[in-house]
Amino acid sequence: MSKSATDVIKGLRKGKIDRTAFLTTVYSEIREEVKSPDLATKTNAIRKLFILALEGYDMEWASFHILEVMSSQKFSQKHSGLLAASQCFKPNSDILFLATNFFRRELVANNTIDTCIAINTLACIVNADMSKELLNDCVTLLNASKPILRKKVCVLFYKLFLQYPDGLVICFERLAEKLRDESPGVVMGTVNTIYELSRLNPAFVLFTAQALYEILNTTTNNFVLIKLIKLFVELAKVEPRLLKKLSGPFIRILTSNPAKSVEFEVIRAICAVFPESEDMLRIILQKLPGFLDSHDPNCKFYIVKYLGLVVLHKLIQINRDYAEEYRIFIMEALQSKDVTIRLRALELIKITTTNKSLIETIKNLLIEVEKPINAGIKEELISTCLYLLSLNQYELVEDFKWMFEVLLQIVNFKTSIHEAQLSSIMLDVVLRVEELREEACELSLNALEIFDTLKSEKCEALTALLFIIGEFSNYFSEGNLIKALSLVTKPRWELLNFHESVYNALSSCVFKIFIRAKEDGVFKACVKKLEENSVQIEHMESQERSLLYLNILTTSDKEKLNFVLKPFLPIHPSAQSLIFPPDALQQNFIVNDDELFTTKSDGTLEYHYYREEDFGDIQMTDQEKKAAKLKIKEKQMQDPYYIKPKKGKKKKGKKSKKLEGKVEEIKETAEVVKEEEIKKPEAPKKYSVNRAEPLIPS
Amino acid sequence: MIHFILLISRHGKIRCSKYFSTYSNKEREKLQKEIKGLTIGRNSKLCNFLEYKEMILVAKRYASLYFVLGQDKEENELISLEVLQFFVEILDKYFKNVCELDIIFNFHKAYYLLDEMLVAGHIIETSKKQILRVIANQDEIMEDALVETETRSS
Repeated sequence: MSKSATDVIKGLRKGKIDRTAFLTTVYSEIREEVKSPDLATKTNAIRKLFILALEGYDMEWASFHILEVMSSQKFSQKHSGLLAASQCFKPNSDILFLATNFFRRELVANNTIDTCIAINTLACIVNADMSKELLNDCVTLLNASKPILRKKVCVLFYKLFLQYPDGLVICFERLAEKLRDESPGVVMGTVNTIYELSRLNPAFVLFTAQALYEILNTTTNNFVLIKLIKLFVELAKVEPRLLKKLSGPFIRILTSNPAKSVEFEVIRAICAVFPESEDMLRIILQKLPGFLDSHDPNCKFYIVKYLGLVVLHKLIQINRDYAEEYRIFIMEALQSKDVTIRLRALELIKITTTNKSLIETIKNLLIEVEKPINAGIKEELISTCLYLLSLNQYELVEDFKWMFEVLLQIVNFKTSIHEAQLSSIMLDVVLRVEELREEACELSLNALEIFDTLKSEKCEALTALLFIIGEFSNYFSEGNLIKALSLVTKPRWELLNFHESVYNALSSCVFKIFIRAKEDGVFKACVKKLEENSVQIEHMESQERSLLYLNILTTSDKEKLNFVLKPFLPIHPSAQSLIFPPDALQQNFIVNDDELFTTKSDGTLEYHYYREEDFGDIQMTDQEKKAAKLKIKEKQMQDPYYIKPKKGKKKKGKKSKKLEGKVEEIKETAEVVKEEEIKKPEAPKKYSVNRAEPLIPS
Repeated sequence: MIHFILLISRHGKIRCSKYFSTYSNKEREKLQKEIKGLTIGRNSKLCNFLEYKEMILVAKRYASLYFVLGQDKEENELISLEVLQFFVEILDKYFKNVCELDIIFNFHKAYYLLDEMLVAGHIIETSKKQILRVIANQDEIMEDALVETETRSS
């Protein structure tokens, strides 16, 4: 006696059995049973298979059997088959080729219930081909006598249109007629479909606005109301004239409807559609306390969402200070147990912080970063801090020394994602704010004392600190200068294997410190450090730079190096246009023009030192042309910017005749060499690595 | 629109899963696994809305079952919570004080009820009476068929 579905469920729930073994047994039974010609047995097998599918087993191999069960005349079997189909068939399943006819029969059948359950399943599995085939039958169903059928078909149309968009043009008008259907369920279904379509193409559904407006004013169903409100927001984007008509109903709904979901939807709509209106703002702000005082955590979620919308659109336009009232609430929300609410609160903080509240906000944010509960949102917290500090070119910051201290504090949090942004802000603010430089130097020096802890992947922070110390070392007192020098000349720098940019910055820093300093001892220390750098560090570029600086230091006059003392200043992007180009940069400047020479018939090259067009319409004798040629050539020889053509087989024009013979010689030897090369096998290349010789000759 | 509804037991068993959008079998498994992790054991004091990929999950626990719904970001979350509440109330009326066991043994009824409530991811019927009437009708037909087979075999 084969098990029924209930038996399987009971079997699974027995405590002591081995589930996997039981399931495997059932599965193999099903595989046998499902082949049976008797529909009842088949249905039983499919029902059991469904249970196994919930446990994770695959159902697709039985697709054809499911189709057979679906096609049964018996309602219970058909129902089970359709259930299995809705779970297992997908729009890309092959079985759907065979299923189309089945669905067509069901759609035109006289049996309401059969058609209903067919539509239920169809909504889950319909694909483009089926859509095309069944569209007409669905349109016929729009006029069915039973409202339940009309209702289901209206909603089905959305799926049909998604799969077969051309169908939209054909039957949308017929669907839109259903907005005036007497049955509210049908209207609901139609509104749903039109809403989804309006998200894709609002202009297309615009002609239904009149009917929709009537429903907006008459319906009492909150589900429909919400969908309509959303619909009108989409329509208002393409038809601004709707706005006048919408303000009345929106206010009415907002003040009269008790449901919070509807309230929220209207507020969201108002913010999207009427961002300027003062009246609306007043009404919305009246509603907010209702949410603020509520203990329902969902309300908390909504309030932060609300505030995000309301504040975003209106208060910023008016004045950030309006947001003062809500700051306490936002800070509380930041400490909420729910991480979604915390993240939303961060968004609000970005919008509502003013220059008066900046210091406290940042302080709170930094406290939050250190809490273990916030480990997941640490990145967002820090990026909010950086965003606020650098907003509108530091508009919010009043005390830059405090800001620099905050930046150094963030450096210690060691977030690699933000390091680049952090270091660029540090450099930017020190360059732009002259008064900050002295304090920034001192703070950077203190921060650098623990430079070994600041190692990271690209070490941008370290590079920035080194740059600040070097570039603005003229603000250091003597004592600090010595301290700085001793810090950067520590041997520990080489040992720790930092990123290449650190060593580059280190060399420049040493170089600049020397330029500022006045003592001989400093000179010796700098030179020694640069020497070490050029030898011990692996990166070639860093070695190169150290050598470069070393050479400059040891060979130049110290006075001549004072150009280094000129400060880096930010330049406005339009400044370049104020500088006129020098005379050397002429308009018709030929740079390495390949047309400067041609290949003559015997294979030699002839260089042209002029172009015919340069002479224009001037008629010249040959003698005059030669003279002109020579003149131009002369000018080019003396011109330091003229790039001489490639040193090919031919040398410059004047000597070309003398070398002609030699060129022939060279050609011959080249040919000989070629032949020799062909004969000999290629010798492998040898590279010799000279490790013994020091790179700097002593 | 609503993309899927899942009913998950406290121990992580899927009692009911209805998908309104296309997901391959692999995607479904992954989705179910991730959602299990997110919803089971979540503190009831927290809000019912979670962000998951490009959707919002609306999750509510009723007795020993977690009802989870996946919706578009633009959808109204509170109304989706209403949808879940509505579903639970219908189950309650149909099974007369529903408990998890009812859904375990009569999962197909839960699916049929859901089908009357939601089609293509949209709610189409908000009257409990209507839905229950339709299902009662279906049950009658199935009963008749059962009686028929019994009389035939006897």
